[in-house]
Amino acid sequence: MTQLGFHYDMSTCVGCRVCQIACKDKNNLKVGVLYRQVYDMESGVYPNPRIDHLSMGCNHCADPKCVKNCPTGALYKREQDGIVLHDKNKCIGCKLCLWSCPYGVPQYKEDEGIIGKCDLCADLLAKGEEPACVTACITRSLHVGEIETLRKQYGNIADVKGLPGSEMTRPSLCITTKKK
Amino acid sequence: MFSEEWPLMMFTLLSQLAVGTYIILLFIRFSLMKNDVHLSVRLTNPGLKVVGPIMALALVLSVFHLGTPLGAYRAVLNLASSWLSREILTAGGFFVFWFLSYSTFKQGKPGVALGIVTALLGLAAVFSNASVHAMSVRPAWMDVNTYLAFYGTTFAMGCVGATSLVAFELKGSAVPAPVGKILKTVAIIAGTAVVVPLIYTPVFVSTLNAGSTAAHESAAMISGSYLMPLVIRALLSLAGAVLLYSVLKNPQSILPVNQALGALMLIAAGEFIGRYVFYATAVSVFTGRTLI
Amino acid sequence: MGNLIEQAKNYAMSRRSFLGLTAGTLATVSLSGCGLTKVSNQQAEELAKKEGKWITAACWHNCGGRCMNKAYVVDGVVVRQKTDDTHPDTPDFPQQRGCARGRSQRQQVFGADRIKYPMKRKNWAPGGGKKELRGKDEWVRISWDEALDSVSGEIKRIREKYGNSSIFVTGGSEMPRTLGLYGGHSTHWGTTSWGSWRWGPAKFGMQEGYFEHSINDRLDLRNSQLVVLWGGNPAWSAGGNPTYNYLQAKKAGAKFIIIDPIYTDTAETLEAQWVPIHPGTDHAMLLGMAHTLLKDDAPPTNPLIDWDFLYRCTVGFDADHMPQGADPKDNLKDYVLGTFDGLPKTPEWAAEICGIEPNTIRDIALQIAKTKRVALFTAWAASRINNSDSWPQMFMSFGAMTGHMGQPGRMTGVSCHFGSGNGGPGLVKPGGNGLPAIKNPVTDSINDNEMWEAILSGKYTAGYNKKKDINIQLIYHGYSSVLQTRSAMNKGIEAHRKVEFVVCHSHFLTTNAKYADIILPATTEWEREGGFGTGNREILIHYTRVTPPLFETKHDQWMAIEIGKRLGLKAEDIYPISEKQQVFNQLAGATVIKEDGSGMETLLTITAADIAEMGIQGKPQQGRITLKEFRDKGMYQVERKTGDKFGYIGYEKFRQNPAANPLKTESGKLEIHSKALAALIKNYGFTEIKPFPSYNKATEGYEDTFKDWKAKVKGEYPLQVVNPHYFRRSHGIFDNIPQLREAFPNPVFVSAKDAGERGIKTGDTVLLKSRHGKTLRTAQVTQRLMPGVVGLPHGAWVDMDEKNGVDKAGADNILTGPIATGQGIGGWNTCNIQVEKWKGAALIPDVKWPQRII
Ligand SMILES: Nc1nc2c(c(=O)[nH]1)N[C@H]1C(S)=C(S)[C@@H](COP(=O)(O)OP(=O)(O)OC[C@H]3O[C@@H](n4cnc5c(=O)[nH]c(N)nc54)[C@H](O)[C@@H]3O)O[C@H]1N2
Ligand SMILES: Nc1nc2c(c(=O)[nH]1)N[C@H]1C(S)=C(S)[C@@H](COP(=O)(O)OP(=O)(O)OC[C@H]3O[C@@H](n4cnc5c(=O)[nH]c(N)nc54)[C@H](O)[C@@H]3O)O[C@H]1N2
Ligand code: SF4
Ligand code: SF4
Ligand code: SF4
Ligand code: SF4
Ligand code: SF4
Ligand SMILES: [Mo]
Repeated sequence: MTQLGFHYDMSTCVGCRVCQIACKDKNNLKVGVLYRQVYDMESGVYPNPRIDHLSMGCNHCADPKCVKNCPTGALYKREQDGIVLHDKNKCIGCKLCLWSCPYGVPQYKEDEGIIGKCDLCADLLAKGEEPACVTACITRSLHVGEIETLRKQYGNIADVKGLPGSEMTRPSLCITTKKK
Repeated sequence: MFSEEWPLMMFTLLSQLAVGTYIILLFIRFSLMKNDVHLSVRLTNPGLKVVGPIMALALVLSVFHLGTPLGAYRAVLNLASSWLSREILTAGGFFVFWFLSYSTFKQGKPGVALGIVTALLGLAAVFSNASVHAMSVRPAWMDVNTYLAFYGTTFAMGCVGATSLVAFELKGSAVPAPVGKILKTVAIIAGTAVVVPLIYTPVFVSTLNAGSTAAHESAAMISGSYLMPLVIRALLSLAGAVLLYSVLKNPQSILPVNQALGALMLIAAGEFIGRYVFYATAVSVFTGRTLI
Repeated sequence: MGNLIEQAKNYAMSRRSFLGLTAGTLATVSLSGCGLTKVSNQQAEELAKKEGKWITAACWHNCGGRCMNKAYVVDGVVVRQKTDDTHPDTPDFPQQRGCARGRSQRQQVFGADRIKYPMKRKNWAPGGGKKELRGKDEWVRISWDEALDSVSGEIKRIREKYGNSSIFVTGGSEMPRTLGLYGGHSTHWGTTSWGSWRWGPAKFGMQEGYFEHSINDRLDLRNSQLVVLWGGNPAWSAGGNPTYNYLQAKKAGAKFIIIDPIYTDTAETLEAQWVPIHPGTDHAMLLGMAHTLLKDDAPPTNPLIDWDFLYRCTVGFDADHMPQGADPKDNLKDYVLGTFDGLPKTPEWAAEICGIEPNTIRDIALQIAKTKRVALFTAWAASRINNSDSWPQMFMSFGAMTGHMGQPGRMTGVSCHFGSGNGGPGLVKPGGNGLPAIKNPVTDSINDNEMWEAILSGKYTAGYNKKKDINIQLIYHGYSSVLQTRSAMNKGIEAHRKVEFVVCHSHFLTTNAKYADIILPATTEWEREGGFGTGNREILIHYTRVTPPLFETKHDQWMAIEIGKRLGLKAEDIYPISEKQQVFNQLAGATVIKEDGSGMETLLTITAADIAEMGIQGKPQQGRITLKEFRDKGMYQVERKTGDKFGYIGYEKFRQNPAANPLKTESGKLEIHSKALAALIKNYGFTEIKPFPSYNKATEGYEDTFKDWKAKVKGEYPLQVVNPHYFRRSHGIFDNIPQLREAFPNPVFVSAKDAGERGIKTGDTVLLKSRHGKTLRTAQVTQRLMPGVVGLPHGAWVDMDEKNGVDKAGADNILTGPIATGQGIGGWNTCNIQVEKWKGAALIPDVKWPQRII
């Protein structure tokens, strides 16, 4: 079984959030619901400050706690490509996945009484296109693909300051960090 | 975010009250049987009757926590790996078996086997309930503290609940000798159930302090803005336990209903605050911020 | 129908699925205004499944970029958007990817808060009615007939009573045509984007950086070993590819130095050496750097100054190289050395003003002088500074001293907006629209900084020692948001409440619209024939209609014509050719660079069939690609690769042979001494400068934060505020889009030091007060700001609390003053303020504010 995932280049990301907005647009998400969110982390002290950004969608983890804990099986890992999908017809909105994802990915939709999450734009992938967030990035800091291939190309770091330890769920994510 | 958890929090408290009460009443019932079957039935049946409705209420509340209540039945579809599925099954099972066991009790039958199965289901429900929290990504929950807290609540509330119910049945009449001895044990159980989690708290906080950022934040809250509530919680619970013991330490005498109820109130209040803090201080391992 | 707005309100309140609204809105159009019919999520998904059509959609704002934007339309409903995917993406031939704002364009066009019908202020009556209620009155829907009659009626009445100059037009090209034919109208002018780069540089020989560029193109930037930016934050304010282009230069090995009061995302991403500076003091820093070079320059052992370039290509650097008739004393070298004023402009002298360590000033000067290929860039922000008319000349002079001009990897000039890091003439351009110009018989034109006071006082500056009377009684807002985007907003509001009539063509209840009497609902570009996206020299975007006009919105041209008719004018005089014809003319006239780079050639092949289909006048023509291909793709992009013929090196020929390729200056050279510049500035009638770049203290600049400069005692307004152009908006545009409000909370950035001294924590609501107004914002305490400087994002829609006169939105121009200097500079980055914890109610996040639905 192959496993799809994301590469994210933290060293070139400028925090412009077009990935977040492209995702909202693609998935018609209301305010308050974000399948991909960009975070900012300031550190350092004047005159040597530092600003880091973190663009987070679902990491389609190899060992997804969300799937494990979901009582209905609404969340499941797709055999052929390891995408963690959500079956809205099974979901009962118990929000346990919100408690279970170390990356704050599943989003509760008040008006629908269920959650929703990044599906890696499976529909676009099926059409041979890339996810909305990936093709939107103005600095080309996001890439999608077979995670092992991505790791070979970009290295195998998924633990950066501000992120929970990757041992929790083994995210299908590799991050290019800054040299400094 | 926390407001959404109210129904859930009440579910945990009420279900634990129900399970605890059932188990303690069963303990009283079985212990009494050797000497006086009739008395055991007379003193525990009415109490056992109350357990069902409490559990029912708890289950109904838990459904309120769902965004799609009508789908509640689907919650048992992932027994293979989801503690929530297991919890729903065991909690539901406890309720069903309560009904079966109680119907046999009603006919004055001992129903030992049924009783034990029900009790075990109850304990399993509490365990699953604790596990649902322990399997989350909130360090403050991913600790044996969760189990101690939940079982502590179960037995503390169970003891005062059961005692009060028995007190009602005694209607101020002198406590029969065997009953007195048993109730004394109950008081001791209650004390233990209150004290153990309290003793563990400092250990818990220090482990949190040694942990991740999120764990730190939780620890900071517990020993900061939530310290006062916790102290009050401790005092209330201890007061409850002491009161219960003072009421039950010398058998024979009359068992004052209002004091038993007083103990129940104190302990319930203590557990309530404790549980509130339990939810309020849980911080997810993911602490993303947005500044721009 | 009446309950439509009510329904719309509910949408806003319940924040229903936007697609629902999109669909609903379009449904109203197809059902000719029967009300919003919410599309359920299921229906939405149905739509999403259906096959639709991608249409190239306009993104037409003054936003700092120019990108590809496409809308996916299914059954007339816009289901989603995407950006450029017309060709594979490579650094040399990149896709023109859009930003978060462009990606939210459908949220704007179909916003629940669109102005849907002509609207009238409840207490308005011809003559003004209760004028003091402007900005707080209720709104009443009226018919187009009533609206057009009222507007034309007031134009007629006021013109008869006060004359044509009493009609003040703030923007838009449409009403000036009508009013031009009707006797004319007064207007306003300013340096807007450019600051002191607007008019002065033409006199001393450098380009302003928007229409024309002095810097080399983006592929050549990769030849630079060192790139130095005085201001400029492309990551935030040059949407599209500029940051990506800079990253290529970094990849190629360039080192970056960024001089900016803010540690920007650009600085972080380019791993730049950050040099914090007091706003408005870059000139002082450069003088200190020039002093360093003059002191240490020792050819041949330690050559730091390119004397050959100075002597061949410039005039005015030293006494021996002065232009005809200039006082030899007025040269830069002696000024820097302090020969005549006894004040050497040493790094120490500069440090006291700009706040940069003398050694850092020396070090940067030497790095630039000793590095072979350097790009010296500045963004207009550093010149949106009062009294900064000599700064661009100083910038040019330092570039000339170091000789970083006219060669590969060597350049000096403005790098900003969509010209960021990519200079050179357009490689593909649209033709003219064929509309004959209409002259405005009225000559009264008021500087932006004076216009509101002019309305209140009846006087304005019309030149050197020249004040003129004016009695403005009608404010006509077309395509602009001047009340929001020009200085002294409080006076602006007062002025709006004084005149007899205010009208605004608008999409939303923007600031201009809010303070008007009548609002005419305008169509957006998505609801029009189509048009062109230009700016980025390598592309020409051709967008087309996405949806029929929503509700009762109309094109500004239609309004100009209808009002004109009521004024007794002929439609064909105002717009002799149709909107469609205008688009066609631009298509037919479009040109593209020849393969060999030798000149331009026709872009489009247009057939008789095309012309017939469009139903306009024109003749068939041969071009590089067919009209159909152009339409289908939506863009023509010139493919670039290193070593191609489409590159650009500013001043290349001039440097090789100045005599044969003179600049358009009096001397034909770069003028470090420019009589013309000094004369130009003097003639505006505000302030004066020397012909050579001497430092001028800025009004409300750093020095003015002190009560006593010598003793360094701070005054009542001890902080400087700058207005970074902000992700959420293009000036005012997009400020109302919920998903952008969610993404960009628009805090005020306060340095950790200043915050600490004031007991301010992140999340606190703070009061910002200047000599000119008060506004509130939520504080974001940061280590990324130079202490003493506050960052208030530009363009938030003012939301005045009428009870206490304090704005709640953090509108930048509530703080700026009516200060006209030099060439009429919009000196917004020079403003002194104080910041304090707000004792009143805390602000709720902007995203939770109710939408302005009327
Ligand atoms: N304090 C401070 N002030 C500043 C700046 C600063 O940094 N600080 N920046 C300055 C700069 S650089 C600039 S360029 C100016 C920009 O100043 P403006 O050009 O006034 O700002 P915009 O918001 O772009 O104004 C365009 C308006 O036209 C409307 N509009 C768009 N399309 C149409 C149309 O087809 N028809 C009609 N009728 N209206 C339309 C938009 O909704 C918007 O309200 O602001 C300047 N003001
Ligand atoms: N997101 C977004 N992008 C935009 C716009 C927008 O409204 N929003 N507007 C567009 C328009 S019309 C224009 S004109 C451009 C303007 O683009 P710029 O002229 O570059 O203006 P800013 O981006 O506001 O400022 C860039 C940097 O200059 C710094 N700065 C301010 N004052 C000084 C100074 O005195 N000295 C130095 N060294 N640095 C200083 C600021 O801290 C900021 O980091 O942006 C365009 N891009
Ligand atoms: S689009 Fe790219 S650069 Fe912008 S925030 Fe997302 S990842 Fe970062
Ligand atoms: S990131 Fe979160 S939601 Fe996504 S698979 Fe991993 S655990 Fe599940
Ligand atoms: S909310 Fe839905 S998806 Fe999440 S755990 Fe509950 S049932 Fe599963
Ligand atoms: S892959 Fe699709 S759903 Fe996931 S974050 Fe990107 S755009 Fe959103
Ligand atoms: S930068 Fe300008 S043109 Fe490009 S997408 Fe953003 S708003 Fe549109
Ligand atoms: Mo601008």
